[in-house]
Amino acid sequence: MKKWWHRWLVLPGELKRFGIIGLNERNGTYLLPNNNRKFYRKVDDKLVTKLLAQEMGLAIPELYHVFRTQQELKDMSSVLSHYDSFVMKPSRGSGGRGVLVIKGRRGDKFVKASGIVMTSQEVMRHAREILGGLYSLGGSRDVAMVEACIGSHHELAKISYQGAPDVRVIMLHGYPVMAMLRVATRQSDGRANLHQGAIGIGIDLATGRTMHAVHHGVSVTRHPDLDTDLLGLYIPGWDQLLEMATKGYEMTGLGYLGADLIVDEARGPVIIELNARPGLAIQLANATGLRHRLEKIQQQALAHRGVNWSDRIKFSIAAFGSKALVKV
Amino acid sequence: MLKRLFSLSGLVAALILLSAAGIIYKNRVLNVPLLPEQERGVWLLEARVSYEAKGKPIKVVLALPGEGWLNPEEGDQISLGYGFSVEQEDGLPVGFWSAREPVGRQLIYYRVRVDEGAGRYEFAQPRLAKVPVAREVRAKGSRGVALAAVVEAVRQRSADDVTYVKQVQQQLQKKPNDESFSFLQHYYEKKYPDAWEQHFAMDLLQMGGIPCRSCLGVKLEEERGAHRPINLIEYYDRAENVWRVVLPDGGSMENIVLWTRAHSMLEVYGGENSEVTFTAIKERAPAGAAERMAESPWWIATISALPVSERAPFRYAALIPLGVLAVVLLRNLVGLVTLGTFMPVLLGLAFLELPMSAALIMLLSMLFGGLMFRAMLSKFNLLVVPRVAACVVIVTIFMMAVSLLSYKIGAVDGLRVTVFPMIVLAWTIERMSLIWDEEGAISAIYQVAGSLVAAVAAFGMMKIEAARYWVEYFPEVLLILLAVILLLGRYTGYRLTELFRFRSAADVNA
Repeated sequence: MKKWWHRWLVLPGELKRFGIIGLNERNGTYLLPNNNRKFYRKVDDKLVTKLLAQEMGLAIPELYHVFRTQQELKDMSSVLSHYDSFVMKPSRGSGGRGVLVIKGRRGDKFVKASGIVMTSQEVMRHAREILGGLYSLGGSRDVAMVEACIGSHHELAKISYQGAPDVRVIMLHGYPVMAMLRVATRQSDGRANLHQGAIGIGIDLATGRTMHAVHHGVSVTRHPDLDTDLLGLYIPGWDQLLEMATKGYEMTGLGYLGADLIVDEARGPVIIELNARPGLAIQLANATGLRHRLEKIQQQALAHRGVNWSDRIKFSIAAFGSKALVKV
Repeated sequence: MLKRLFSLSGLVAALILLSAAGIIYKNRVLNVPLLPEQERGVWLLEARVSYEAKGKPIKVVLALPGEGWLNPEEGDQISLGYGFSVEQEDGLPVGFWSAREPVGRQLIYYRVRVDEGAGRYEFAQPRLAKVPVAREVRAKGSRGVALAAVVEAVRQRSADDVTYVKQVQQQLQKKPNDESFSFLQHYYEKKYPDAWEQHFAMDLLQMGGIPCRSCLGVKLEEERGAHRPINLIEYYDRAENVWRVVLPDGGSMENIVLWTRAHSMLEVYGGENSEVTFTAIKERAPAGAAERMAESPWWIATISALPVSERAPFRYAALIPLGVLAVVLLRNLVGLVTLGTFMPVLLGLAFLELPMSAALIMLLSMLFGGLMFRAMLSKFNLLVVPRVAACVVIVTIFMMAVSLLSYKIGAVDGLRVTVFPMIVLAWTIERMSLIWDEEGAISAIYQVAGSLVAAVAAFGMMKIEAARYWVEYFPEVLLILLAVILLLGRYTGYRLTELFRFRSAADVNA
């Protein structure tokens, strides 16, 4: 029953009943006890993540170049001249900060995903800021990675206003817990962060189909800019995507983990980054709280150790997939 | 899981028990009240003598207060390896320290308690047998002429001794632009660099036939911190037959106590670079409580045993945990977003020093100016560290400007703008402009507003009189604070803002 106060807030008791967890619970109950600090480097430094993913044989965007010092930036133009499109990002950035997506060239200028044209000086400045540590945690020095720009699958591209939609899968002890698709809007400026105005769309773990969407915390069914239908859409290569995300656990050893993937037209799912502190908006996108699922996995993981990835996926699909819901 | 929680609760219980034991012991056995005594305050006034010893025999003579308002024998002295005695010199009490051959920087403390309600001790009457006579001022040549001109002008505008003194003070305050005054000002400034107003005024008084003499006072004020003795003048009001103490420039005598009528405060024989400074703090516990604490086996849990000048910064530092608690509550229970984790505590400390409105206006104008400047800088493609460094320089310049501007318009609060931590301001500006660029103005303003709310909350926490009293006399409450913070570290419930953030959960689930 919707109450008058639900326009502004929900009561703590109600949230608890919905099984929604807050930041304190995520940190105190799931993140801190399960994520060993010494493994953080594996996900906080994207260069390390890339190497590890390569060793595991997981698909990643091809690394073109790494600028490590200001001196190396002197021949930036000649290095970048080989590539029509690329992504430049800080190796230790967070929350999508400092990510520059170049879609094409116009003469010696660069065209961003949003269509805005940048001069090579502006790109250089961006690289300098990355090296200076502007986007990294704590402002420490960083390196600038240049990697291949992954083109989105056309099925997904048609529901995103610029910028490739990405899929976020949250895992506990390597069991997929919940997944969502994040698509950009005009307001989010090509970025996939929900608090910047991107749309979060919950995905059914069993079928890989989108089930529910939120924009600015409000349930929606159509894209506000493109007016395309957001629900019932199949994520191409879903089984493969789940497999790759799940293997992120073997790769990092982090108990509470988020994996961000983009589905490429030709290559299929590609791992963009892993995240040791994935946010909680996924609960709104799925219209489902995390607590019930996390507790169930906690029990399962305590009871059975060393379960391989395919059995973990099977468990999650059985426990949290839509068919399971129908059965109940 | 259970085991870990148990050990945490064990630790918390131990902390609370230890703290409670200390509080009960202090309260019951040492008779330290649990709440500050409002009625009557006691000031602890401390002289701190420092000098450089060269390995020669040393004699230190410090003028002590006496004559009516205080018995010099009641003071405490703290010094290492010195012989100490109270003696009389020209009828005035002095403290006399001696040592054979100390080496290096030396510190001597002398501390007295001054009851606030003990009457107007600063105007206590000296006992004199005969009515004093004004000393003759020997001034020849152009100084004599100039003095005579100023004296004549003052005499014209006064009716009696009191108004004569008022006129002299006014002259010194206004510093009129006429020839004789400027000449005299120059003369006295050169001859008495530290006390030219005092000597100038005394000569003017004596030439007007008013008996007077110099004396030295000390200000009872916590905010001032350590300060040098204040030059005072004592003149004899011949109509009323009383001595009166005034400041040469006519400033307010409020909270100033007369320390000594001696000409000099301190003489150090055998040492170099000697200096005496005074620190006053208000003792919030009743007389004797601090001493009992210092001498008890529980002395480790009191800062009362420290010399006053060392204790003053501690009272301040001990407040920081309170501000930190406020930030923890706001971030983890309310879910407020701030720029920099504990930056609001530093701002809150700055607010303690200034009236809130003035502090907020200054802070916001500096942030605004800094952001403008930062926007200008972004054109030049500077590297991060030089850019923030440039911001620090600009913030410094802004501070000077605010100071000068408020001095010109007579707003004294502006003069103390340096209480704001410059580096923190510069980083705040940098972070704010980054968020502005990346997430938009609303997000930036939201976070700054969050920081300000947290700063005001931290300020409010540190401002509570009872809380300040506890951390000073019952520092063991910090253990309870620690226990609370530890428990908050295990709080996994919702934050207040999450009730809003997750409101759409009600759409589907409810």
